[in-house]
Amino acid sequence: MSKMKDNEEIVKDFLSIENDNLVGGKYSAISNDFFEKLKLERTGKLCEKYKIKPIQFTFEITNRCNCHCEHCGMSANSKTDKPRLSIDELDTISDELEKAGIISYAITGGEPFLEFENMCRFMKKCRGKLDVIKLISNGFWGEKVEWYFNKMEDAGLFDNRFVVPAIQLSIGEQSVPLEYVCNIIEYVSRNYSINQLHIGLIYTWSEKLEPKLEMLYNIYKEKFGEFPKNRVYITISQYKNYVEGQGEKLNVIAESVYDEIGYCDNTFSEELGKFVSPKIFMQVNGDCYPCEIFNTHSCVYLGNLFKEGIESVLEKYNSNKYVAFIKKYGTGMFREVIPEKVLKEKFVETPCMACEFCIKYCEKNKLLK
Amino acid sequence: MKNDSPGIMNKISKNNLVEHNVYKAKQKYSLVYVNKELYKKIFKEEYSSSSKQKLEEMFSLTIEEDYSNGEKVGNGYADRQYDESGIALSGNKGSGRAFFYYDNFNFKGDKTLLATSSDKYYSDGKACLPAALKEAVLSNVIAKDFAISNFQMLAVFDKGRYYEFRQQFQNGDDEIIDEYFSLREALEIRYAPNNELYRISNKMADEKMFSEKDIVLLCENLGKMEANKFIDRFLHGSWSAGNLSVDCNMIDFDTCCFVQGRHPQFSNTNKYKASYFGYEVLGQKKLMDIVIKYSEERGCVFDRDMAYNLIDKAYEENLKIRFCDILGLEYNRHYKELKNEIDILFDKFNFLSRQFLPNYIDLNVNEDNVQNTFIYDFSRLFQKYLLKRNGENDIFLALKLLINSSKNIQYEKVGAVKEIVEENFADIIVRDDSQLTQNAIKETMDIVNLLESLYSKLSEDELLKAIFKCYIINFNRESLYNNTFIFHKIYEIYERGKYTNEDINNISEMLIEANMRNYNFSDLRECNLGLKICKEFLYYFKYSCDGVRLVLKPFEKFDVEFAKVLIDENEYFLSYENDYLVSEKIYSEKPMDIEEMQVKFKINGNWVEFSELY
Repeated sequence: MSKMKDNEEIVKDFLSIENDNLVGGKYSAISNDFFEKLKLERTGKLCEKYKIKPIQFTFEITNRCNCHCEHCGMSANSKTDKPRLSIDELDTISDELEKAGIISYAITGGEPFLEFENMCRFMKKCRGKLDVIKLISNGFWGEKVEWYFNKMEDAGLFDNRFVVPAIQLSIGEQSVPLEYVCNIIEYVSRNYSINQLHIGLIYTWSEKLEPKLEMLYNIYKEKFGEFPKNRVYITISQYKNYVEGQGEKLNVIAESVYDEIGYCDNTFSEELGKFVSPKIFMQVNGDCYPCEIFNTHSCVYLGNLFKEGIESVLEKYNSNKYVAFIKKYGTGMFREVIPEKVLKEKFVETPCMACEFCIKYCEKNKLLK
Repeated sequence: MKNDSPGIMNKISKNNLVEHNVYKAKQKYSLVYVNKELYKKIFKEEYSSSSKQKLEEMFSLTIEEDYSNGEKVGNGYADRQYDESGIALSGNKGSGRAFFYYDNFNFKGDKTLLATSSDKYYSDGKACLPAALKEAVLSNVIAKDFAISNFQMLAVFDKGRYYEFRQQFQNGDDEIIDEYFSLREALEIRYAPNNELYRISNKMADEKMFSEKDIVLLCENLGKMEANKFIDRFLHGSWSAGNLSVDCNMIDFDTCCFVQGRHPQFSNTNKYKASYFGYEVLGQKKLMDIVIKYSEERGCVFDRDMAYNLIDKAYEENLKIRFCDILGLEYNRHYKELKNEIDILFDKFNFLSRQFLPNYIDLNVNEDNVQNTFIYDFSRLFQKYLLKRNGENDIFLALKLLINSSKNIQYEKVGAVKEIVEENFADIIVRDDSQLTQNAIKETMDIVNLLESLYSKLSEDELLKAIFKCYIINFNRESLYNNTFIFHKIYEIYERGKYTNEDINNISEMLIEANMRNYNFSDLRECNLGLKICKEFLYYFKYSCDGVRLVLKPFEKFDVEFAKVLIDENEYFLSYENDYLVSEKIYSEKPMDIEEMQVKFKINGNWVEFSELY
């Protein structure tokens, strides 16, 4: 944690992700009547009849990446017969989302900008119908930042009806030159107001890694002068998708499941501001889950969008007993299901892992009705 | 399934079977209890969700035309009975509220042409739902658990209408007080493929002879039955030729219940010694008097004293055999080797377990202080001594277990029962407190010495088996004592709409399962014990030699999404297995005492305050 203490001064220049205002929060609505407009938009659409109505659909456009992070939390470059979404599949996504009344999408990967052309084509198709809420990237394209933004503008990046779009850049184990990331930050700060486009950093750190945040900050200052205060969001994470046999585990702080399970705020209720909820997360093969936790597991599998369609996914979302449990009680309630001794003797690094542990334990021992 | 010639027609002559038209009931009856195991045996299929409708269709029948839709479906038969004394039938000429229909079924709860008593409450033909459930539970417990079985109850139905039932009490002035209750009418379906409902009084009505062999067998069975009732702590309360089959199967359980102590207690009438627990063998001798007299009148003479001796011999023998059981032993295997200790222990048990304080009114099983009246609790001693003793000759533990916390009750008024009790039980009434204490200590020491001598001769394995057997076989019966009349409580909750039919069924099933005691212990791995019935749920333990699991069964209107259980401050999860929640197994090196376990539930995240129904 010592490195984090050194970063405290740097972090002061960033926006807090604790801001939960509907307009002006990390995930911001364009106007205060967001929920009224949302209700109107959903009239006659599939999700209207369900209790859980997703606001955001996050999908992996590809699982290929030009970085090779040892502890990738997104399973990038993992073995698959299907490294990317086809154009037909992208069209299916946009059609299904529109049919369902899910108003926004986020694109992740692998590295989504490796599919930039398809990504822009998708954005164009969705323009005026679906909002782009978030694009996640390692920022490698920051070498030619203006070109990329011109293309994205043409594709409709700023034509959202409900939410302010955001670009989220990951730094940590990535090998992308930090200068490129700085280029993007500078370009956004200079050309767009916070009401037009949000920009955020996801900084994954560890004692064993270089202090990337400090390095980025210094590079920025050297190249562009003062770092833009209160313009960039930062999420500092120690999250590592620890996969058995994937090499040396980074030194992270682990707490008991009993404690970690209380940290997750997701209750599948409708929220915008500090985070977006509810969401559907789709892997590149079409498999859908109710949460963007990367250790997705069969207990919360919602089906395959391409094989079963969005209605089936929504149906399963609304009938999944773990989703229903978390929605009703929050993840903390797992403490009342699983014996305390079990939860206190198991240590994990993140609330997501704690949640996963609890769900698997409940499933194995049939603890929920 | 045949309609017109039930199996009883092979036993009782046509002259003594009164034919009745059987109609479809106007209003379909609602199934509240079904014996699923028996259902499978009869219908050769597993009980499923469609079976309920099938049974309701099949048994929504009546012989009372006013309650029918007019559609006749067949003929049913009510049996005449012989009752020289006039006691058994109360002015009726036979079964006043039951008839035979289909192959081996007996419908109880409709008025027959034999219901001729001038007292309308003896001739109304009605069965009330709480009593029907009690009969279902008791008959099905005895059918599986007792040495001499009886008919099994297949089903109980709620007829969906009310009737004013009368209950009679005797007060301190020896006045009979009538109380009236508006209760739901029920229909009981009894299954009797053999002689289970072929009464001694049916045979007499047919003027059939009892051969010498019949009489000998009857005497032996009567002795055996009474011995088993004493050991199993069961009171019939109303002996008669009409309440036993020719094979000594018990019939009609209205006055029956289990008892805790083995001192004299009554349920129906206090007038006769033969009506008291532990002394009903005298009633069976009176029954033999009737049978012998009947036989003599028809030219077959049998010596009364010989009959009594046969009964006594069978009674003594079976008491001894069963006494070995409650010691955790097997008669065939252990008696010869341990005869000395067993015989002395038996004599003490047979005498001391009957001793009681002169709490006259509380000898009535319906009263509150029944369990505070007997002195020596051998069931508790045998159940827990081996399990809990701290080294050998643990006198302190034995005193705590054996000597009951009995206390003298002061009555404002007593009535005739005092005289009757004093006259009949003078030798076992205990009055002197100081002498009682002295005796109790001396007896306890003697008993402990005998037990230690006996058990020291067993191998380690045999001793463990004995601990297991003792604990189960001596465990008190769950909720089946008359002073905790659970069936009325269950009925009240059902009436308020808080229990569904399925809940009643589950409760009845568990009352039966959790009241098995006489297992084949050489095979037994696990049994159900320690049943507690609360308003929202019931729970019990799956009990085995090496540990326990707790089972929670919520009732239908109590939604349990998830739950944990705290047993003696240790937390365990509860897994869903169909509609039940079962805890992980709590292991132990030797059998556990579940009666002392503190159980708390956290249901849907909240600690639940609960109390049992009684």
